[in-house]
Amino acid sequence: MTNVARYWEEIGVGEEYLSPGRTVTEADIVNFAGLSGDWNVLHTDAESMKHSLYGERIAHGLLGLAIQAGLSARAMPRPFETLAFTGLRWRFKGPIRIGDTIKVQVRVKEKREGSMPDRGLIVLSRQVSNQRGEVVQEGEMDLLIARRPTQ
Amino acid sequence: MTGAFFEEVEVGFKAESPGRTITEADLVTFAAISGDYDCLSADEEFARFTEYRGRVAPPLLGPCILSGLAYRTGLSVKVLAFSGGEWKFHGDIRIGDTLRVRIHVLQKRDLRGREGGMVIEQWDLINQRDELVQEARVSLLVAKRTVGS
Repeated sequence: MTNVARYWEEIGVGEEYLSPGRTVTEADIVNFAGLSGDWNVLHTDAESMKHSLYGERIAHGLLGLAIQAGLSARAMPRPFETLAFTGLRWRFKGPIRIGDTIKVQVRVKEKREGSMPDRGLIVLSRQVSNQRGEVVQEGEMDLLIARRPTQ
Repeated sequence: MTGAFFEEVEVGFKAESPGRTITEADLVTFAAISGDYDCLSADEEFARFTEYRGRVAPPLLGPCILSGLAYRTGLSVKVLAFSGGEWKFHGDIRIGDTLRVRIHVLQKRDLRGREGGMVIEQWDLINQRDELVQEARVSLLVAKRTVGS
């Protein structure tokens, strides 16, 4: 195995990763509307949106959140031995438009032992920015990561 | 845009959506859109030897399904922007689970001179056994009937 997942002990506070970019297309928005069932005109009605403050359709905020998850996976050279994703604090700061190219920067913010001996907590901070360097979304995620088995 | 203006949103209002059964296709589609092929959700042979004993939905599929169900609660508001939120993931979502959302309007904050006001809502995601699977407290910017009020 070349891509062995890392235990809690092997993850260091301050580690940082930058993902490749991904251009968000009209197809992404249509697919996300279909999957989520969120057909809000903000994302699906080009004619109404011409007269809105955005001037055009924008991506669902949660589509940005989904895409950054995939980008993060591509940013990290080795995945974590994740047992559970327990919490998320997230801000949608600006619109993602059709044609925008977004990237995510991931940083290990915090590391704590948990109440269970076989796992520890990792807090990741993530920042999603567009091709102009504007931060469009950012937040933190709480992950429970397996500790290296003793024996 | 259909739905209620900021002025009409009532603090304390509660509503519940119809159910939606999560299928294998939902997991596959979410992986395809996000690009996140985490083994717990995408690799049955891996997942069945973990403590989950089989594939589970990626936790972020929950907020995605929830956002669509929220429109089917009867509580429809004119959202200008989704500002953010805090999510807690309590339990897993499995293929075949049927999810519903319960919405509770917690708070309203007028932003003077802006085209919208902030509405804070609690969103609970419940499964067929009435277990609270995920919960979120979200902030929505909702359009005002009269701008500048």
